[in-house]
Amino acid sequence: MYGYGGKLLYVDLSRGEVRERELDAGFAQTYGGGNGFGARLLYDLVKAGTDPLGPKNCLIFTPGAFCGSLVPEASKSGFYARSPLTGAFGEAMLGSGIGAELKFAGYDALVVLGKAKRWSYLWIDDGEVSIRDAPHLVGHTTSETLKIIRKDLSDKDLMVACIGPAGERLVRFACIDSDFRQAGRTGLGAVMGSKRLKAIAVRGSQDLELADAKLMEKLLVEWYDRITTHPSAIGDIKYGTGEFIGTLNEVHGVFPTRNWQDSAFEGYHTIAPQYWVPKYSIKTKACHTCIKPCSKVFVINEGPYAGTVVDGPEFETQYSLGANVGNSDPEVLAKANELCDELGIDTISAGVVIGWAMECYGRGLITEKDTGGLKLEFGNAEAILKLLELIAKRQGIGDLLADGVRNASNKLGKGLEAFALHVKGLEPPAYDARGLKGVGLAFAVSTRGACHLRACAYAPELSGGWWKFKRVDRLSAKGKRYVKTIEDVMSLYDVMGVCKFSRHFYFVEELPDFFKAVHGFKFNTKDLLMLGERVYNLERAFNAREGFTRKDDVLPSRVMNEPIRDGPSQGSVITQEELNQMLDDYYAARGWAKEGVPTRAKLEELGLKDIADDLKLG
Amino acid sequence: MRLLVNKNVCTGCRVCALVCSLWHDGVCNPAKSRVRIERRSVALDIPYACRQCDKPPCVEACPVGALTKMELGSIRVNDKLCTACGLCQTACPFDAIRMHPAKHVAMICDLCGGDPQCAKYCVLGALKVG
Repeated sequence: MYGYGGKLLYVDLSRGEVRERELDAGFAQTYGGGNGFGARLLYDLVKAGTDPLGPKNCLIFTPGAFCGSLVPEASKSGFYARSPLTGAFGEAMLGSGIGAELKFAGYDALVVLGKAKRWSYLWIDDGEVSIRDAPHLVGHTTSETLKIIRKDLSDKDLMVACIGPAGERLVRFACIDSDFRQAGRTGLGAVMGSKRLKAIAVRGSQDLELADAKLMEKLLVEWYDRITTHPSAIGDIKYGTGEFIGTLNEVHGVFPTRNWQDSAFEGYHTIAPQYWVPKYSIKTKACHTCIKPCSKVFVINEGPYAGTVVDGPEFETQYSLGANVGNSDPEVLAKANELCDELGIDTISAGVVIGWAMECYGRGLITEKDTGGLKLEFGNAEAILKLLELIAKRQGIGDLLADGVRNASNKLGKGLEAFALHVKGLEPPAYDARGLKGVGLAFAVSTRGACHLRACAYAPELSGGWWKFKRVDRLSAKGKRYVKTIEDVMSLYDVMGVCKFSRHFYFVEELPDFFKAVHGFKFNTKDLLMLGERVYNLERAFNAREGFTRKDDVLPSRVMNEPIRDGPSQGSVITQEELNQMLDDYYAARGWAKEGVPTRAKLEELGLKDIADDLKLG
Repeated sequence: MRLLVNKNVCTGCRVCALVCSLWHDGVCNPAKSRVRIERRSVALDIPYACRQCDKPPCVEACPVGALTKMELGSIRVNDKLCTACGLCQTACPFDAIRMHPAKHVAMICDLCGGDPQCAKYCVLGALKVG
């Protein structure tokens, strides 16, 4: 089959068994790849109510449909499991070359089941797969683990995905690192740790045949110029992903600060890339087959943080470990980012949980007695860096924080939910939903909790329109049905494995040519939107089976009860009435029941009758 | 014609490796590429590519006369003569020669006949034609 490795790989760590299945042509065309394969396999393999950190959860890894095919920006692969942070559909994508490598090894999906008796790593060497002992890797950081495995297997180019110490200790927002990129969200590093799987090493040398190599060459010539001359690409190459941090602070006032108590950060200038890129960045890096590189390598040569080298901090981290913890020192930001990557924790969740702890400290709910003498004041560099280590090692107060902000808040009791920022247990990214109500809706309904990437709903609210959508009023709860369509398109992006920073130049109309060149599929625009919608409904069906309904499509208390204090969005808040109205509009646009569950009619329209049967929908 | 390599600006995207295999073999497979990128650490991506030496050690090392330096500057491999002995690999000071995994002959950059595809799609110019 063109554009695919051709097989699915299943590894049962409990039994030490490895088996393969041919990739079915109908399955490939129906779900595409990436999160299409991930969502379908997860739905089929993980039963309702499965303990996310138990042996019956599966850890699934799938390359995007275009990975390894030379489609520019098709860098993304994803990990999938039931999330230990949310209990819902868990998904985290990253731009590592390991996705393409897995295809070159002949596989379009890796499914890891069970739990190893002792710490292990998986070695996929073309068609040969083995489970190897890994006691010597335990406790090592992500970059150390990569080095040791490359040495063990005598291959300097080997692709590795691994967890750090945090994943080993089941930190519920542990990430998976590969190629110096991270699959950050929803705690899938903890799922990997629960299986005693420290790493996955892949080497592939098989051909990825394209359906129409000549067409691919033609598309490459055309798109290379279109992408590299596009203003959004030029900006990304220069400053990375945080180039608009000033606008979000000054013009819109929607940059959450100090655990969302404020919506603009007075110290943003020094964590903005316009400040630190010229001063600290030594080079620009790219994800796999990306021609608009936006990674900035931050290097500190002197002072207390000398020796820090990190890919980033990217926009979300500028928020989470910058503004949200009151930190305006770029060196502390870079050091915190490096610690997260090496220890293996998600920077967004880490920054939100630390911001929450700092607010608790300010209110006297956490004291120096709890923290071992650390003063958890906003902006305290020592506290930020120390807490990251305590979390990763589950030591002291870190053990409480390592379960995520929802669990920590519930455990500490005392009505702390009022300022615990999360949706479905996932800590929110850098967009203050009170001043971006479409983003608010997207956070509430997203299949993985407070997520900026299921919908990229800020695009039409901030950038004067997107694709066929004109600019929408960000402060109004009306006219937010667009969230449905943009979710379908972004879901399609996750099927293809194309980076969402490409959304300003790849529009749906232009994508059929790529499917033709890579897979030989004759999709039209409608087919592709339906593919995105199918996969999105499948994710939502997974959640419905776990009992998620409208009652779970909520927003953090602070977003609904505390209006933005000052600045350009002063006074804005999302009321219950507004959320209800947006949910009604959204479910109607989706063709779902008022309870927020997909209907039989919708699932059948999308070719998911068996899912409707499984959910026993009337 | 010569390939100029600047590792300091290599983004590690590895488009060069895929485009090389697509151009020469019609498939995507970095194992069939004449260019290789090693992402050694978070701040270091190293391109390995033929530099079209004036006095190519690979040609001198070949015991069967399978390698010829062409007018363009590139090295031509005579697949019929090459025995995949690997002496050219050892001789190359730039670690830029690998064996073709299917044909079992040395793979050496041919500058794509004058329009090197790797340099054409190298966005920050880590590989350039000089």
